[in-house]
Amino acid sequence: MGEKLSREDAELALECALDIGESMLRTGAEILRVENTIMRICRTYGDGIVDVFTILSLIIVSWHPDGGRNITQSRRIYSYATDLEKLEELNALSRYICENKPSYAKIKDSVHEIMCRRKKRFSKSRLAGYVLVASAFAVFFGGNLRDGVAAGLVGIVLYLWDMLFAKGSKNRVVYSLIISTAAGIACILSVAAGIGVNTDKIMIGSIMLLIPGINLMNSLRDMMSGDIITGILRLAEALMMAVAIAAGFGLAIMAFGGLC
Amino acid sequence: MGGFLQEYAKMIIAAIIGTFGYSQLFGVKRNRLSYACLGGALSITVYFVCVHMGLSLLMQNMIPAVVATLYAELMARYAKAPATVFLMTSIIPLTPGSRLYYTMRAIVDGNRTQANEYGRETLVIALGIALGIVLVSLIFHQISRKKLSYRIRFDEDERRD
Repeated sequence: MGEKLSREDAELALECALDIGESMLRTGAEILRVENTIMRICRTYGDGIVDVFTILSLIIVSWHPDGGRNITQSRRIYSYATDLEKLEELNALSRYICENKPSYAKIKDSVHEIMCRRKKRFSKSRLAGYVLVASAFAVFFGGNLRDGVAAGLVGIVLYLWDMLFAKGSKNRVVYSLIISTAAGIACILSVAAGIGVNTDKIMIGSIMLLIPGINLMNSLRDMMSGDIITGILRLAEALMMAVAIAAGFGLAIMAFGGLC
Repeated sequence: MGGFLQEYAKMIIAAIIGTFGYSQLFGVKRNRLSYACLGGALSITVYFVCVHMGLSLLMQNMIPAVVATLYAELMARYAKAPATVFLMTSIIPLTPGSRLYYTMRAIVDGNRTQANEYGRETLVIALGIALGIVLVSLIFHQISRKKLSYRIRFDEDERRD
């Protein structure tokens, strides 16, 4: 790494590093992984001192390459959705970058490829996931087969709801409240229509779809690697979402509970 | 006893299907699906064994979480994937979704004693799972080489030469 990095090149390199870091955070990576990736990519292109600060919704990087001048860039992250397949591919990409030092245009293309490849809004495997989770857990917690079928139907409703409205919502707590009210009403209607038998088991099945278990787990993992701030943010969000889900189902029962 | 085992078998199969559904939701790669489902089956089997032994509510959930985290960390090294993939899918059958529902139901019905009891149980289960994950992950964090190696500006080591 003897050659000196020009200012433009350094800015481009930092932009690429941030592209990957931002995409990772948006697909549900831990903070340690994001900071590590950004640091490694910067140091592949022009060693020096890298200061990264990352929380759930923001990345700031100040980079002082050897023999260059300090540059700072930041990214704001608005929404995130866990997608482990994309995360793994980004991980592999960053490993490839550190070993092969490809051109900046090539990195941009690869990130774009990974993040925008599946542009289809309707995905069969996700729909199957919704149906399977809802019906399997309705049966798991003591429902019979008819409850399983009803929970599967509620799963389809939730999938369609998520497909139509999830993109536009920034506040995930309010979104959980609304979607769980809708889910509760769908559960009660499925029993009123004579498909399901036990409302409670069907509701538990659809709660398992909405429950923020993965947030809680990520919060623990972040706190353990020393990122207490993000750990607390994720924990607070998970707790508020759990309360919102309970409140949403409660509202549905209070409003339509008389139907069954 | 036979009916007993049958009941458990039904629940374990349901848990495996649920775990499979979860891995579809979060985009687990196809070649890792079987390992992920195996994790769910493992944790729920250990959970049933713990319930059968009559352990306390905290231990009932902590021990399966410990086993699941061990499985996830070892599998992550074996299959070269982030540990999150296997941890999430193994922990899912343990999450207290039904307790959360019954807490809410008791509050809606105005049954304060039951709401208290279920609410406390929900928290204890969540705490047990968290403790289990933390215990094992701490050990793996200590032995892993994935530490952040950073340079700082005014390093004492640099001043010496």
